[in-house]
Amino acid sequence: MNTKIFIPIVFAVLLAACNKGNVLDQVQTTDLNEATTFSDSARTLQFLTRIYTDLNLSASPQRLGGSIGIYSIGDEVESNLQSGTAYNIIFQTGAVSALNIPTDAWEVSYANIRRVNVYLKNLPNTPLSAALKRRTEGEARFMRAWYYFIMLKHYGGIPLIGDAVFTPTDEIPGKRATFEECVNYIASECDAAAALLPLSYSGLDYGRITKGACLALKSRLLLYAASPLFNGRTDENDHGVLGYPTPDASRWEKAARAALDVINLNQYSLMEIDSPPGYGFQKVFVTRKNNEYILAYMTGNNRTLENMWDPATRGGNGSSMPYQELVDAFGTINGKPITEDLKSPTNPNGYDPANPYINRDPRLAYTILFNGGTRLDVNRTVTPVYTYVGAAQDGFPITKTGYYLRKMLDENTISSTTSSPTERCFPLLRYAEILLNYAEASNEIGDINTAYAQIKAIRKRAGINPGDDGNYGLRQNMTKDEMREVIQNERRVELAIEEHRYWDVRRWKIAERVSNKPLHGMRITRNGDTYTYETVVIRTPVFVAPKWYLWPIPQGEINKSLELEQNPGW
Amino acid sequence: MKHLLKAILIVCFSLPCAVYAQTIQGVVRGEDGPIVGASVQEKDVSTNGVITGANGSFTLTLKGVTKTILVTAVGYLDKEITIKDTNAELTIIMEQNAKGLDDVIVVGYGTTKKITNTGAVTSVSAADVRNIPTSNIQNTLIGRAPGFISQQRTGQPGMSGAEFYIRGVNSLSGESQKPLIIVDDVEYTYDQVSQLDVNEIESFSILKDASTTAVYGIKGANGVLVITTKRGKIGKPMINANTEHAMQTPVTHPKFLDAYTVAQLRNEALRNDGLPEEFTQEDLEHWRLKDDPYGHPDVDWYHEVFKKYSYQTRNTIDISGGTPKIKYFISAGHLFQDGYLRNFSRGDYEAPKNNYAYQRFTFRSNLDMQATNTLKLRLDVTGRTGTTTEPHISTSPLATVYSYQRLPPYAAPLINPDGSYPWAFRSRNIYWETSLIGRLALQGYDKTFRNELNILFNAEQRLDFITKGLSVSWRVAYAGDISYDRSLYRNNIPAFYFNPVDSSYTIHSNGLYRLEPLTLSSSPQNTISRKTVNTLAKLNYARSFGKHNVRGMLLYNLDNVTRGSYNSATGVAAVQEYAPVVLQGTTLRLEYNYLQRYLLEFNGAYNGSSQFVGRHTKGFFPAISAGWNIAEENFFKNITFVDMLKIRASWGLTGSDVTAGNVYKTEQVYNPGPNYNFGETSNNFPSIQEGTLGNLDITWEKSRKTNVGIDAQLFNNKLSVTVDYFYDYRYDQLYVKDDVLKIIGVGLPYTNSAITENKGFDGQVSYYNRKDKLSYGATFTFSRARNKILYQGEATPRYPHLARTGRPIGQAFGYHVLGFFQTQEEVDNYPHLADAKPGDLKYEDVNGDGAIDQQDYVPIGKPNLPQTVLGTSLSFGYGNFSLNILFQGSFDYSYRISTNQVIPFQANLQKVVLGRWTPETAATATFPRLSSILAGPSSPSNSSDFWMVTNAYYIRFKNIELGYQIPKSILRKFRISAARLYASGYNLYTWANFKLYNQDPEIQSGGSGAVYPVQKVYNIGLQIGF
Repeated sequence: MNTKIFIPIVFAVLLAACNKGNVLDQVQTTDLNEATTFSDSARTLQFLTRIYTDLNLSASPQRLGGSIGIYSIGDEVESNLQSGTAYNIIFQTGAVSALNIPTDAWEVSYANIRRVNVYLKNLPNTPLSAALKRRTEGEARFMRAWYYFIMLKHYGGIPLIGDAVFTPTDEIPGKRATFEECVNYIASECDAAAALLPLSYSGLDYGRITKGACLALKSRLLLYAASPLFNGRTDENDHGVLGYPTPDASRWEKAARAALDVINLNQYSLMEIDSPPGYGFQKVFVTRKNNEYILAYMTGNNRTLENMWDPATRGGNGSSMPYQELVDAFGTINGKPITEDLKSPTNPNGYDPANPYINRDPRLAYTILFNGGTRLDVNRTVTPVYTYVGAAQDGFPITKTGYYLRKMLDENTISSTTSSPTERCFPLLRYAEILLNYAEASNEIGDINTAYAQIKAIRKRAGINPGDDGNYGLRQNMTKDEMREVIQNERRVELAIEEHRYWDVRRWKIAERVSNKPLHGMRITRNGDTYTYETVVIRTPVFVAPKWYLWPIPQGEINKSLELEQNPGW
Repeated sequence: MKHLLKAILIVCFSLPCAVYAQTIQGVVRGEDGPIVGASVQEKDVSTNGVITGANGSFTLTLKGVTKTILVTAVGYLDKEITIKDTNAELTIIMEQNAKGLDDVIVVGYGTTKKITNTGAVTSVSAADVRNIPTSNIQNTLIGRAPGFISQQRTGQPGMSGAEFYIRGVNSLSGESQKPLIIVDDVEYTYDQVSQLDVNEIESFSILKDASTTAVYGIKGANGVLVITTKRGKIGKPMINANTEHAMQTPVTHPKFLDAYTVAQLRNEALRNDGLPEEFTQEDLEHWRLKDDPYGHPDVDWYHEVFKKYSYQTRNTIDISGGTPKIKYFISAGHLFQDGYLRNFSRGDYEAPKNNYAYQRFTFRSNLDMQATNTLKLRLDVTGRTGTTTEPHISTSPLATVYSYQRLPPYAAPLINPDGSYPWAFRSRNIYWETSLIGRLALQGYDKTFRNELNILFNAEQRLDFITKGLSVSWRVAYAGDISYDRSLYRNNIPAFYFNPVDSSYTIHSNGLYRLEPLTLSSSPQNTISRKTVNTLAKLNYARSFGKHNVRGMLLYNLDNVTRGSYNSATGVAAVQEYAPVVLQGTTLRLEYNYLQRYLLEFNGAYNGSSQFVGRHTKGFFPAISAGWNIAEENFFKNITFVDMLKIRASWGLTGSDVTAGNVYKTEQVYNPGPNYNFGETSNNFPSIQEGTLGNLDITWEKSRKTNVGIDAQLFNNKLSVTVDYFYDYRYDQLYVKDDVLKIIGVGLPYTNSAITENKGFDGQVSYYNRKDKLSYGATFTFSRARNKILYQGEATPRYPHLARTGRPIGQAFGYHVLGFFQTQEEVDNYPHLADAKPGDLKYEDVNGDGAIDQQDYVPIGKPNLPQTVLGTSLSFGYGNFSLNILFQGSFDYSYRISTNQVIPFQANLQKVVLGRWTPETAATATFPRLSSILAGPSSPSNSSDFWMVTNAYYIRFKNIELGYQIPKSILRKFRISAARLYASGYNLYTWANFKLYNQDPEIQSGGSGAVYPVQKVYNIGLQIGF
């Protein structure tokens, strides 16, 4: 009896279990995929937003992990990260190889290029308005050009993939396009995007790509293309991948015109504040909306740089310590090099080696935190920071060079919550750079007067004394070569820590001169109320020419393709 | 369910009435005397039975027709007696079950007998490991079970469960290396099995070859650990209580140099770098004389922060027993493991207790009911609740103590003269941390609570009325697991630098003058829930037809696993909802033997997994095995010293459906990306990005396993030998191939591509003898497994020495060190890293390109997981005394030391540094020259074989237990039936070939080194039975 009841139950259960044929079907885990993203206007725009989030790929002061960026692997700053796995050490000691070079320039760039191509592929079928389709196509195409340019400066010519969206089974072309093809492609994309984009945005759209950004990128691109590293790269038999095979001075003309195109938009100006002198150079970096930034990496209110760069007494990590070489590049308040403008009874405003931080280019105090320089402290007062030997918390040898970074830090913000965060965004394209691009290109085509005008504008904003001749310390009637030296130093000073220096010394082909010699710090000893100054060697970086003028393509990629050629020497 | 209950009720109330009752009386005896608690049962009325009383006597009223009784007792062979004369007093003599051939071995979804088993199975009785004082049962099996390879990475209370593998690893995916763990037919995770109390466990079985794992089909490829829990046996209630108390102390700990030596070496390092010395002669003199405890402190931080011994206790109580109608095993357990921090607290108002600790409560209730003559019901309910405590501190105390940068011996005094906490004024600037002991005293705790509940219901119906030997059972099991975190903490404490020169106090840069209030938080990201529901229906058949014995099993299995992290907030990226995994399968087992002489077995599973789609959902996993009991042959009968000799072989296919991560690998989904900030004022905009590409064609990993083994029992079963050779070929492994250009711009999907092989042998030899009061035995176990990558879609590297294909899984790569550079001339004449000087490591320029870079890397050493594991256990018994000893050794592995452990002035300096290279000691140096530059050319961050023990081994005196059975004559007065006093130890001594670094030999290679040390344990226990 009992079993007769039980057995049917068992078999019923068994059958019920067996009959659920769809028991192994996958359940839905998300409603987010390609179809649902591009059938919704908000999600479509969010897809585009993702491409923005990597715009600072190359320029980020944290690019190489922790608190190191491109500025930490050149002749600008020493980092306090000293582990053998830190990229500043790997680069500076020459331990870098195609196997351990950061792969981000390659991988993140191509990832974003794919995102642009996915976006463009889906754009016609999205529910966006026609105007928005047009504008966002411009934004997307600019960003694709932007990521290609990042690769171009790292590697030379790279494979151009057009609008392709690959699947894993596709034959992915590994053949590198020539440098010229890449320049032409990026330039034409800049032009095309410029035609689709507005001059400016307001409200919630502020910070998106403008027509000006397209022209500014083109200016930078053509300046690089005309520079010695790429303009006539005859030293390698590379079919034009690493640069133009034949030099052509007319490329400078194109570069000058491209810079002028930005200027002629009449959209941008240097932020000038006269009191105190050069204060605009400080203020522009902490002003979210300004007329000098052409493109910025937009962030929310933050303390990022204060946390990284401020000294310990200000609650920061004191992570980046500028070399003496950078400090010495800043001239005097008269606009002259410190070697030429020494203090004397007849020249009371000259450089005084016994008191080296006064009578200097005002940008020095806004870029470098030196012994006695002032910063906000946790008690909300502005007090001096001391870096002399043994000074509590901040002193040498805790700062290896005797300096900390000050540039772009907000005077009202420190790491501590006793202050408010700053609205600072990080500059990617800035009008001052365009003026310097214009000056450099003009000088190279012999239009030295134009170069004078641009440098004077930069120096005027910097708060340098105009001098009796109104030349801001510039010598009259300089030759092209003399002017080139001035422009190169002006770029180093004006654009310090903004990623430019590392690439500038390469495209000028002067890296083997400037990146192979000892870099110094300042050991300051306090004797009562006076200080004595002594330079000490911090490190002698390694630079092997011509191998290290370009980064190696990650070895893992080279291994996968017979078509993809490695850069010479790697 | 309702019908089922009705059925049970009907059965209970309609028990067959006695028509023709006869009462018999008798005594059950063994060789040594009467047997108490033996079961006497009427054969054809299985509900009718009794248990023998104090003198082995019983009285039973027969109700059936055949008048046959079945007598069973633990340790004796079953006996069947047909009653002829119901009036005579019966004396039943039971024969001891010494041969062990009828020993039952637990295998997947059932049991088998040792003699007819054709697969590779190792069985360990939980009784053998019950008294080992460790909180995690997997730590007890290494050295005892051949094929079981484990490494205990940490000794932290609550997290000290070893990683373990069966016959090593044989998959490129870490997740797919872990064995399947089955507790009472329900799948458990590593974490869950760590929580089990050993007192609840009856036996462990390790299933190694295809014939034993094929029943798990798609999940069997990594071997299976099968655990069964204790069940009640027919007998009067037995109460068993056990209490253990232990002291734990680290197996090894770092031994740092004192401040005077360190300061001298610091100056030497700076001189070597051409930098000015940091400390003056006056400073050094203070440290030498130790006369300035505040200005020139010299603190042995390790001993100030950590205590030598910490306490551990384990207490269990269980009641078991039963009648033929109902059997029960009910137990409760408690474990508390204290941490190794000293107590710095200054009263509860400031901060709660925050030492590392683990507290666990477990309970289990296993019930078996004989509902009718033919229906058995089973209900198991078990739960565990554990609490793990850690101090709330950003860098662990041991890591802080290891770090020269944070805490050199002269960092700070322990406490200021006024009782306030100092900060580390002589550490490196970014680490001017407040006092470590102050933080430990005041910063509070982080706790993780873990709760588990398992329920299992089973019904088994004999179907003899259809055909004899047929039965069906149905089971549903639930396993749930929820854990969440809770912290009571503050992040900062006030601290002051006391300057003894002017007796001034300087506040720490955090600016705190008084204690912040404690914050209570629970971290939703760490909340984990896991739910497994398993439904199983099984048809069993076993019957003998004369000389032919047949067994069969058909099983249907449905497994549903849901896992996720819970977060009450919405849309936060930390939320991880895992795609639920459903597993469905039918398993078939057929066994046939002829006179237990020729054995043949077929196992097969037809499984499906929701991890895959379409025609890749389901697969068939067959295995066949055969055995030949040579000793059963007639021609062998004369060879009397051989009791059993069996040759067996198996071949089959198993699978692994494990895929890493939380989404199906078949589809591409889009994910939220990082935010961006547009607008004239700050406005966060969310973003969306493409996820990794999907692959609809993926399917399970497959393993082709071959196993050949021999079992022998000799000399009246005193000596037994088992040896197995195996070869596993694992193919179609789910792997992301690295041969597509990253120009594709998106994560590549998994494909079934990689191939590895694993081969080796394992086994054991054991001897046991007993003479009067003396018994003694020894068991030697051995395991060896070596794997190799055969294919992984690797792009051809530039140099063959960089290829990973053809090398073992987990092979390390680095520079080969030729020695130290002895002279500047030598440095100049050989390729070197920047800044190399005499006394630095000389790396071989393998590719001969004149530069040292990663293109010169070569394979160095062996994988971190030992390839050879040996164990020797010895046991002695004399009268009431017993002694058990286990030695365990692991061989053929490599261990790489990391920067944080050894680099001078990154780590605190240990004795090994004294062998540094100096021009004077150039010939005998054992350590590179000292340098203040942490990332110098000799740093371990340049992976090299100098910082590696390439052929590491260790042997541990793993376990000893000395027991004394208190004589019954004494116990009777206290109404105690049995009592045993014992002392045991765990990890008592370690011989290893890298004591130089004061590291435990089992910790993770290249890890931080500052993990909670593995503990040795001294334990005493008392076991009482009522």
